[in-house]
Order: sequence, then structure tokens, then C-alpha cells
Amino acid sequence: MLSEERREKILRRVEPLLRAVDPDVRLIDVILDSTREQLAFVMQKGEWPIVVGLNWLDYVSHRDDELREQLAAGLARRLEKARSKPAEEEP
Amino acid sequence: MLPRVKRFLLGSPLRTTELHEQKLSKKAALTVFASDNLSSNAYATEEILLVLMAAPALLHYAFPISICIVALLTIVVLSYGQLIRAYPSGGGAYTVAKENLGVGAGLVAAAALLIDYILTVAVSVAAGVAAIVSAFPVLLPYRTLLGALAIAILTLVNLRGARESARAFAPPVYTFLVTIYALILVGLYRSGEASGAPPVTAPGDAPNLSQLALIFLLCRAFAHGCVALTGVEAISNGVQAFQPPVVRNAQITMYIMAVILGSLFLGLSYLATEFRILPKLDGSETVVSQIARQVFGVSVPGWGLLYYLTQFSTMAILILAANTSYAGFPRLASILAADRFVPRQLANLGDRLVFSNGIIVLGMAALALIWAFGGNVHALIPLYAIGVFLSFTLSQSGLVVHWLRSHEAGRWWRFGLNALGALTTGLVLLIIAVVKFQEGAWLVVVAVPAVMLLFWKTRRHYFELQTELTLSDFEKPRVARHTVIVPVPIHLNRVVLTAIEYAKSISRDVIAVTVNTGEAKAETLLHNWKKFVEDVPLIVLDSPYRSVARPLLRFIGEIEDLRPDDKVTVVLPEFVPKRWWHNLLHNQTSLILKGALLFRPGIVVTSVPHHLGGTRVTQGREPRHAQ
Repeated sequence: MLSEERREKILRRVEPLLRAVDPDVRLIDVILDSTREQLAFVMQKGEWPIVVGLNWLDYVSHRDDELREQLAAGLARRLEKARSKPAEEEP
Repeated sequence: MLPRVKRFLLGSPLRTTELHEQKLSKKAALTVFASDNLSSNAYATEEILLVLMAAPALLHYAFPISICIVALLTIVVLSYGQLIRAYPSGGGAYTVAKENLGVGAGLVAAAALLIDYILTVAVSVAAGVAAIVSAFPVLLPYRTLLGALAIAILTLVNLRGARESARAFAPPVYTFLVTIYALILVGLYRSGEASGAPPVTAPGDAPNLSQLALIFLLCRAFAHGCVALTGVEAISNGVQAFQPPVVRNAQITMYIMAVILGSLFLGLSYLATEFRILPKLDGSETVVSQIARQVFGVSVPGWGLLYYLTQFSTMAILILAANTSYAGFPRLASILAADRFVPRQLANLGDRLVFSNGIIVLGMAALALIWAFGGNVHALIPLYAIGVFLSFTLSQSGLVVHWLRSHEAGRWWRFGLNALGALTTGLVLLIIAVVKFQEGAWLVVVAVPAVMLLFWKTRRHYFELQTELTLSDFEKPRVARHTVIVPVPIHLNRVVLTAIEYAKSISRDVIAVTVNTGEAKAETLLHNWKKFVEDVPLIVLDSPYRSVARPLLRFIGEIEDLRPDDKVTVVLPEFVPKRWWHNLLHNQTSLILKGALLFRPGIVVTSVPHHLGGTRVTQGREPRHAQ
């Protein structure tokens, strides 16, 4: 689990990048898995939660513009998938 | 409470090793397997007379037609004797037709027999209830209810076990046999006096029949009288219910049954002709009742008692005729289940070493028929005999092929016997199909293929399941990552913490998630979360439309898609109220999530229940349960 300080730092870096990609998307949290290899950015657009994965090494090695591009691609994929099956998860 | 009621109604469970003790002696088997067949004496003669009434001059043909039917019975029974010898494991027409004529033919026979068994219960019970209602017309409005009650009792007695049902049903069956034999013997003695009586004519003018119409009428009377043969096949389906030597005991029981049936049927048909009995078109009195009234008389003390005894035992055996189906249907269904054509549960032996599920299915199906037709037997009967003769013909044809392939001694005379059986029953099937077509036999064309379709669909499902679950291309269980998601309510409680404890015990990647619908402040939850749970991230989702389930399910889907090698388990904290009605006081979010996730492949759902009021908590820590 990320320390509070590290978590805040990541959120501070990613939030403006994400706002530039899609201003309607709200970044909620970031999670690091137990292998410490994979980050998961939890966002929400309206009611719908979106989770975009990112390799930890990519996060630390990428420049901001590269990171923004990667987040934009991941977000587009998730939104595309969400559009293709909007009613599937209705209880 | 429920187990006690079950034990009271059905008795204590029997050990599998006691199965042998549940096998039936010939005497007991006669009451279980023959009641359907023997009860047809109550109406078979009447069926013939009803047709012949259209031409009163032909009424004297009732006895010769009965002789023809008994000749047919002899052929069928001798043929079935060979079937029992060739297939001692039971299964009757289905097994024989499947093995010798192909699966399709076997399924036609099975579908026809299953339909026939259900109809037998419905028709027998409805007929028995009709007899009671005739004696006590005040019961007429409760006809359906009485039918349902009779089916419930029959189902219950059969669920108690084969021997118990034989013991319970033996007295009425043997009383019926004694009274009808007494009726025939006394009737034969008195028939000399009746033979001098003037001939009775049927109401209406005798029609001037052409030769063709005459033949058709006689064929029709014959076809209607063939209901006497229903139930003959039951013993061949249940050979394994007999005590050893099973083949010999089953054959002897069937021959005894045939001799009793034939003699009673001929005796009653002879007396009906001798006493010039005519069926009453308004249904106010049966032919057997009229014969008994004339033979015993009701006004003479002692003889009158015999009349009422005959009537009551007839009524009893009509209801008990359904018992043959309770012996046949579950056994045939269990054989079909073993072949995966019907649900596998039908092959399970219950607590009392009977095929309980088959018994229950039969009871329910018959109940549905009684309910749907309001207890009216006439709408059901046309479907009845055609199914029996369809299975007769298929089984005899199957045996013909069997003997052709066989190399054992005596195969040629057996071949001849079964060929004769196949030809005669096939011919009778044709006659019944033609003369009863408009009366409802066409329904078979719909019902049999519909049941066969169900067989194939069921079989296909099991085949697909087997293919999917096969280990043939499975290497080894992979080492997969495992993420656990714990949905938590906006107010933190002990049940949630118990679930978190459990989630941490099964994975290092646990994510808690809550949905903020705006009803409470998420800050309080976050504050408490930091206080009690340090090492599990809590995601707070907003729900502008106040739905809890939608954002949660979508979040679970997103986590599932995050990595292809990840297994996702959703751990649901649940509390179980002490009283059932307490459930009404809660949201049941867990139940909704469980229902929604049930059909999502790749997601495991686990409940961590907390039983309210079940265990006293003294030290502040919960006992942990997981299911």
C-alpha cells in the first residue's frame, strides 16, 4: 500500500494531466498492488467509475507529456468499452 | 422442526445396505405393479358397450370383442415375459427400443410412457374421486381438492418406501379381487335366471349400417376396450424392484396379473352380456355397479353389504391404480437420468431408498393436470391408450431385432413370439390412432415430440457441460494473482471489519469500496477507516443518482479488467437477523449484489455472515465465519 505522502504526491502530479485529457473525469484515488509493479488510477466520470492501470516503472520514468498520453490512451480504451456495454452491469 | 416433520411423515432414513430389504415379494409386487392394470376392469367392459350402443344389434359382440382383447393380452404378456428375460435390469420399452432400434425410437417409447404414467395418476385419481362424488354429491364442488388430497397421500405413502406402499395398498387391492371374483361366481350361478329376461334395447333407433361402418364400429369398440391393457408394461420397467431371482419372480407376477385381469375382464363382459346391461349415458351408474346390483341386490341384508363392498373396493382400486405409475415413473426417469436425458437428480435414491425426486415430479405433474382439467377425466383418456400401445409396439419390434442378433438357443421361437406381438400391437396402435384421432389422440403428435425435445435439450446441456469441464486439455492449475474487493456501507461496523479480516487472510491485494449517495458524510467513514484499518485502501465512489449497486458493479468490472491474470473475489459482509421478518427492515444490498454477480464469469462471490443475536460477544472481537 502506498504511504499517504507518496499517494498525495502521485495524485498531485496526475490530476492536472488528467484534467487536460478530459475535464469531466475526476481522479479519486491511486492504488499500488502488492508486487509494487502496477498502479491503478481510480477515476469517475459522472456515475461511472473507471480504473486505468499503469506500470510503476513507466510512471517514474515517463515525462509528463508521455504520462498524459498513456493515461489518455488508457482512459479512451475504458470509455470505449463502457460505451460498448452500457447496460450489462445494471442490476 | 422441518426435519422432525419430515421424519414423522416419511419415517427414518434407511441405510443403503438396507436396499435389498426393500425389494418386493411377488405378493407385494402384485399390489404395487398390478393395481393400474387390474383397475381397468372397472371401466373396460363399459367402454366397449358404450361404442356398441350406437348399434344395439351388435351389443352381443361385447363378449367376443373381450375374448379378442384377452387374446391380445396373452400375446403382449408372453412377449413382455421375453423382454424381462432379455433385459433383467429393467427399463422396459425404452431400453429395448434404444438398444435395438436406436436412441430416437427409445426416446419415443420413453416419452410415451412418461406421459402415460402421468395420465394414469391423473385419470385414476379423477375417476376414483368421481366415484366418491357419485355416492356423495355434496362433495362435487370439492372435486379438484379431493383429487389433490388423494395425490398428496399417494405421493407421501410412496415416499415412505416401496415396501410400506405395498403394505398400505395391499388390503384394498385384494379386497377388490375377492369381491369381483365373488361377483362373477355368484353372477354366473344366477345368469341362468337372467338369460330368460327380455332383451334390453339401447335408447334411439338402431342405425342401418353399411359393411364398412359395421367394421369401423367393431374396431372402435375393440380400440376402446384395449384400455384394459394399460399398465401391463409396468412390471418390465421395474424388474429390479423384485426379490431375487428377479427375472423369474417378475415373470410369474406378470403372468398372475394377466390371468387375473383376463378372467375378471371376461367374467364381467360375459355377465354384462348375459344380464343385458347397458351403460348409462348420463354417467349416473357404472356397468360394474349395475352388474353388482343385479347379482347381489341391495335390498337383501348381507348381499347388499357385498354390493357396497364391491363399489367401495372398486373406488379404492381406481385411486390406487395411480400407484403403479408411482412405481414405474420414478424407475424409468432414473434410467433416463442415468443416460442424461432428464435431470440427474431423478436418479438419486432418497432417504427411504426410493427415487424420491421422481415420485415428487410425478405427483406435481399429475396435480397440475387435475387442476388444469378440473378433475375431468374424459379430456385426458384419448391420450392414454395410444401411448401404451406405442411403447408396446416399439419394445416388441426392438425384441425382434434383439433375437435376430442373438445366438442363444430358442431364439427363433422367441423371435416369432415377439414378431407376433409387434404386429398385433402395431395393428392395434393403428386402429386406436384412427378411431380415436378426433377424440384427442392427435395430442400425442404434439406431446411426444415436445417431451423428446426436452430430452435432447437436457442431454445437450450435459454434453456441453462435460465438454467444458473436461480435463483433457487442462495442464495444471496456474498461479494467479488475486484481488479481493470488499464493498462497505457508508457507516463502518463490526461486520465490515470481520469481512476485511477475512479478505486479508486470502489475499495481499484487498480494496475496500463504498458508494456515497449523499445521505451521510464520507469524511466520518474515512476517519474511522484510518483508525481501524491501516493497510487496506478505501475507495469512495460518488453516486449522483443515489444508486449503490450500479457504481459498485461497474467498479468491480473495472478491477476485473485491470489485469488478465487477476482473479477477483468480492467479499460481502452480511448480517443474518435472528427473525426472518427482520430482513424486511434492511436494504438487502448484499443480496442484490450477489444476484447481479452470480452470472458474471470470472468473479467469485463470498459472504461473510454475522448472525445477529446468535453469539454473545464478550471481549469485543467477533467470531469469524465464512461461507
